[in-house]
Amino acid sequence: MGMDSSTQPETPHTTGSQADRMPLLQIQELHTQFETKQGTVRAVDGLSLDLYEGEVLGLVGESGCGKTMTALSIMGLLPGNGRAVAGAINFEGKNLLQCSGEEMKKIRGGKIAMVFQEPMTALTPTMTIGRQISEAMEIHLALSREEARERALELLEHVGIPSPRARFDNYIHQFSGGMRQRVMIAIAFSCEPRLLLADEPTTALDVTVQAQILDLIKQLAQEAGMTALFITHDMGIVAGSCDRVAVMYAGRMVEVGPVDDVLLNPRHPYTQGLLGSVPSLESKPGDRLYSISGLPPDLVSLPTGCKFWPRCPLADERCKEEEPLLEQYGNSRAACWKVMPLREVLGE
Amino acid sequence: MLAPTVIIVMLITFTLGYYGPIDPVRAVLGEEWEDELRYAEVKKALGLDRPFVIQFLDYMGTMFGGNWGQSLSAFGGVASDRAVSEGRGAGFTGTSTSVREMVLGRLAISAQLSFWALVFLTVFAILLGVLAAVKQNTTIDYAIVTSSIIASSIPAYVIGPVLLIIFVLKIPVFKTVGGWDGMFSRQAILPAIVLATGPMLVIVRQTRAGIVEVLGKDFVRTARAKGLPERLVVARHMLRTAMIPVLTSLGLVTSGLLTGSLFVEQIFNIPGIGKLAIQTLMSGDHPVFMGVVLFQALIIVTVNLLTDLLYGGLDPRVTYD
Repeated sequence: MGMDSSTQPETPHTTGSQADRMPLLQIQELHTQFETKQGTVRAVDGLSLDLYEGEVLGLVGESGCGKTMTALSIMGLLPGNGRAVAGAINFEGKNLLQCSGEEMKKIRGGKIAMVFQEPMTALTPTMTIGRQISEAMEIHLALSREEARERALELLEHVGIPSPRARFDNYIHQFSGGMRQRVMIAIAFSCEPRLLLADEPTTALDVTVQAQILDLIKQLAQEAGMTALFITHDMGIVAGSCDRVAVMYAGRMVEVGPVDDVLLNPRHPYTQGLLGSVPSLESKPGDRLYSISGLPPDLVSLPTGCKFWPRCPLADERCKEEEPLLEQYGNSRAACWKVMPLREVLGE
Repeated sequence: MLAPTVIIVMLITFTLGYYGPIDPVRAVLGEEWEDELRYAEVKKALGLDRPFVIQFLDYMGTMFGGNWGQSLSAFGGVASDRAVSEGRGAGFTGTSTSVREMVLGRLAISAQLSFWALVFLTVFAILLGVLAAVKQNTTIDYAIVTSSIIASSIPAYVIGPVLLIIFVLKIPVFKTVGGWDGMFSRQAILPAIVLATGPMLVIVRQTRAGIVEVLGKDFVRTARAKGLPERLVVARHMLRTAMIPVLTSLGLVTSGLLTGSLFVEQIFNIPGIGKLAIQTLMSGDHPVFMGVVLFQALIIVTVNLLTDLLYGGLDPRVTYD
C-alpha cells in the first residue's frame, strides 16, 4: 500500500456532464488511522472520491463511518494521533498529504474552508464574533484590520445577521444556535475558498432553523461558484441540496452516483437500508420504519470480505470472503456482489 | 463580606494577644518589670487592667477610627525600640510610633517586592506553562515541569542563601547582600526571584493544565481551520480561556506574596511587612503586630475581590449586577 500505488480512479467511465470536467479535489485510496491500545482504528479505509468543480457532493453514512475523518484528513486537522497513512488527496496540483505545515496553513481557510457541526462549541467564547470573522481575511487576503472589519460587516449582513455593526463586538454567548452557525458560515466564506467542507452543518440546530441555514449555504455556494462537500446522515438534505451522493460504510465507499439515481434506484443493500429508515409520504401511522439490524463494525477488527455482510440480509459465502469493488450500474457505481433489483427484500 | 471578615480577624488576633504568653507590660518595662508598683502603673497606662470586652471594644474603636494606635515603643519600650531601630537601619526611614504609619510604610516595600515577583511569575511561569502544554509529553514538557517542581520544593531559606553565595560571593553581580534601596535598584532582583520560585510550580501547572484542556476544543480546531499561525491560535483563541483558572491561582498567590514574604525579607534583610511581623512578635509589640495581621487580612479580602473583578475582563460571559 504505497502512497500512490493501486489507485482506483473513481470515475473512469462516467456518463453525462462529469466526463468533461476536471476534478477539483481527488481523493485516492485514502487510509486514515488512529493508534489505540486496542489496536489500529481504520477510520478511513481506502476511500477514493472525486469532487468536480462547482458540484455539491453529499457524503452520507452512519455515525462513525469516517465521514468527518475524511473531511479532517483533507484539512490536515486530524485529532489526537490520527494520521492519513496512505493515499493521496490532490487539490490544485498538490497532494495535500505531502504539503508542509506552511503550505497547509495557506490552503486552510483560504482555499478550503470548513463549517463544523457544533456551533455551540466551535467558536471561541472569549473573542468577539467580528474578530473571529475578520482575522482569517487579514491573513489570507492580506487585508488591513480596518478593511477586514468592513468586509466582515458585509459578510454578517450577507449571512442574515441583523444590525451587523451592533453585533460585531458581541460574543457568541449572546447568539442563538442558528445565529452562531451563520457566523460560522461567514467565517468559512470570508476568504472565498474554492472548496467548502460542511460537516453536518445543521444537525445541532432546530428543525425550523435547519432549512434556513441549508438554504443560506446553498445560496452562498452558488453565488461564489463554490464546490462543496456536504457531510450528513440526513437523506432529506441530500435530496434537496446535492448533485451527487457518496455513501460510506466502515471507512470506505459503497455507492456513489447522481442523487436522483441513487435515491430512486439504490443498488447497495446498505443504501437501501438508509433510505428505508426515512419515513415517506406513503407511510401510514403505525407503520414500522425499516432499520438496519446490528451495529456498525468495530473499526479495529473489520470483517473479511464485504464489510457489510454481518448486517446484510442478502449476504452469502462469497460476500464473507471476497471484497466487492465499485462497479458501474447505470449512472452510479456500487460495491456489492448482490446488485439487482432489491426492493422485494425490504418488503415493498 | 469585608466587614465581618475584618471583625472576626480582629477578634481572633486580639484574643490570642490577650491570652498569649507575651506580656506587653514586660516588653515595655524590660529589666524593670519586677517592680510591682511600676508594673501596675504601666499596665494602667496601657489600659490593660480593664476587662477583656472593654479592651476589645476600645481596640475596635481605635481601628475603625482610622487611628490604629501606638507602638509600645511610644511608651519607651526597650525591646520595641530595638525593633524599630533595626528596621531603620535596613532602609526603613520611618521614626513614627504610629501603628498605621509603620504598617503602611513597611507594606509599601513588601508590595514593591511582591510586584516584581508577580511580574516574574506572570511572564515566566505562564510562558513556561504554555510551552509545556504546546509541547505536551515531550522532553521540553518534562524538563519544564520537573524544573518547576524542583524550584518550588526548595524552601526560600535555602534558595535565598544559595543565590546570595553564587551571585554575591562567587560571581559578584550584586554588591550588597541585602537591604532595600527602592524597587528599581538591582537589589530587588534576587529577592523577587526567590519570592517567585515558591508559587512557580502552581502557576506553571495551572497554565499547562488550562492550555491542555483547551487544546482539544472545537473552537481551537475552528481557529486552525482558518489557517492561522499556531502562535495566533494560542494567543487569541486559547490563552484567555486557559487563563481563567490561572487567575484564581494568581489571586491566591498574590495574597501569599504580600503576606508571606517573611523568609525572603528576613534573608535579604528587607524591611517589609513580613520582617515587621517577626520583629514585633519577638519584641512583644502587640499593637503593631495586630495591626500587621489585620492589614494582611484586609489584603487577602481585597485581592479576592480584585480577582473576581478581573474574571469579567477575561471571560465575557461573566457579568456583575
